[in-house]
Amino acid sequence: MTPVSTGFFGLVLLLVLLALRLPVAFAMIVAGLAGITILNSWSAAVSTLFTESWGTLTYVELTVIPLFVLMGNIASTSGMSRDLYNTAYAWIGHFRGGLAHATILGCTGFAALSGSSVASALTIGRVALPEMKRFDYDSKFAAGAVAAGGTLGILIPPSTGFIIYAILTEESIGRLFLAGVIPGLILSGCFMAAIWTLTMLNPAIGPAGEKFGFMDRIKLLIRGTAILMIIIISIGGIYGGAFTPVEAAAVGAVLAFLFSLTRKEFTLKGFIDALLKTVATTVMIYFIIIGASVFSPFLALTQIPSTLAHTLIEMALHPVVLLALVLAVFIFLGTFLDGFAMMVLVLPIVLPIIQQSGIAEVLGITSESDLIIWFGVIMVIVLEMALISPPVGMNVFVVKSVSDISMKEIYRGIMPFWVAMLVCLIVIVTFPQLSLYLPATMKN
Amino acid sequence: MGRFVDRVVMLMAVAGGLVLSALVLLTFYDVILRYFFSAPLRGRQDIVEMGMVLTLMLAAPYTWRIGGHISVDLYGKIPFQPLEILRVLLVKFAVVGIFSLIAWRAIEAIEDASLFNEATNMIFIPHKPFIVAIMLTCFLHALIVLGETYTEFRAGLIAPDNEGKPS
Repeated sequence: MTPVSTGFFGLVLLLVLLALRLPVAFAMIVAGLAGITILNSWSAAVSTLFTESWGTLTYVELTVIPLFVLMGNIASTSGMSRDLYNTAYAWIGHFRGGLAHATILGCTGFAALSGSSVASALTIGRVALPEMKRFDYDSKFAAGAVAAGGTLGILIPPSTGFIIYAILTEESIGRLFLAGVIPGLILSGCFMAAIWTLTMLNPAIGPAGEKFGFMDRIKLLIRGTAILMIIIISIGGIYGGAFTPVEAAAVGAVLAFLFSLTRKEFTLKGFIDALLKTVATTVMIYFIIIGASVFSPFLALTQIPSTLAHTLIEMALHPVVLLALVLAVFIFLGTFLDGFAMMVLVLPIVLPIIQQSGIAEVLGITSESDLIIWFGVIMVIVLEMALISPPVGMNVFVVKSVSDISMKEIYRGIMPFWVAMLVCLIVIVTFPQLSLYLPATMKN
Repeated sequence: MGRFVDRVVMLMAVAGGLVLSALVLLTFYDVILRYFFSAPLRGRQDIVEMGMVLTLMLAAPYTWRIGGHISVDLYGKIPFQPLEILRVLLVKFAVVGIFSLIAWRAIEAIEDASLFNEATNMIFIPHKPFIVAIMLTCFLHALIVLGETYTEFRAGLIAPDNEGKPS
């Protein structure tokens, strides 16, 4: 068997194992082991498995994942996320579509505490959906706002998507975090524009909510300030060069814990729940990285990524067409593959293509590192689209789990937000500076 | 058996979570020492490296038991029962195989770690006890999956829910 045909065998095996519902991490390990055994030897394959496992477990930069996940889980358990939503609700809930706007703002704030889209959708959805139901919001519209708003979790730092991307591309986690800030805010704005448009066209889908007194608004704003402080200290610390991402995550987690101690919602049971959720999420992500670390050397041995990149370059497609093609493939894969799985599987194949495509020259991106960072932002936005795309959109399942809205209705409600994401994607692709400005001005 | 195993793996995961909390505090403490006393903690990185090994290996069986791994869930059960059983068996044995392989390879790594005195870079924490921890927890993980397969089949049940959460 030639390396390329072995590579295709490995890819088919991987797809078969995924279809058999072997967890993604283990499917990559099995396919990687089989491929390395064929191309090299059984002992090399087993040795790769252990070496990569040990390397991943002891990779200190990866610690940023559990630390930020813990920070988000503590904030969620102690009701801080509810405060975010309540603050936004108090200030803008009385406008038409105001509760949906508050949902997006709540998700944007919570995204800055948590790196997980699922956590964002779940936490804000639990508070926002009943409120929107109380004010007679259209259920499709409400579900769409929560599912879409939740996706901001992996774009606005801290983002687990960026951490995995950074590990896979050996890029700086801090720079990637900062690259996500402006696109995250733009996306949040796009969602709010979608809400504004929808409620303009049909005011009945998002009636105005209750109006709060000025003092109540100020009180809620003060409660929300605590969260803002954690965000400013941890993410601002990375930007200002005060902390490494790992240190920022630890500082954020300790601050979240200290703030939680002042709240009566935070109990020992809640803390243990937060710990259990954190370690389970961490193990899941680490094993996906281990899987990718076993599968990637096999892919490299097959020479498929370089061959494919070569073939595509020889086709002399315009770089923009090539990029559009790659993004279309991502969006298609995202309809049935998990976002992280898609990233670890496809990135080793796609990144060399992007690097050789000439897109950097077309868009005026001057350095290789900037290209990788810009593409990371693009990739994460596509992952977000995957999170709400039928038939397998994780955030859709989350909204379903906290409401009695049918899947069909949720998907219909999501469509306008999906279009808003596409618009945001086009803007970020067209203007790379939106992603690259903050990393460029970051202090080391 | 199920309830006892669940309690044990949950306790292990809580222990892992406590180790993680200790690492958070240690990192925070290091930041304070560095900023306010200009005296960073020597070897913090080494402790975090080894601490993460413990956290992850202690929590791995729990993650499996709660269906915490992501799988691509395009369909429900296969309607043809023998095929569904075959599928579940394949999934479970693949997982048993992977963890057994890591455990087995860890045994060789323990010998190497002893022979070459492998340790962390700064404060020379020996790798050996942590590789032993990997070996033991991976072995336990494989045993748990085997035991759960046996129990489910004995009771006439297959629990695909344990295979992973849908993507």
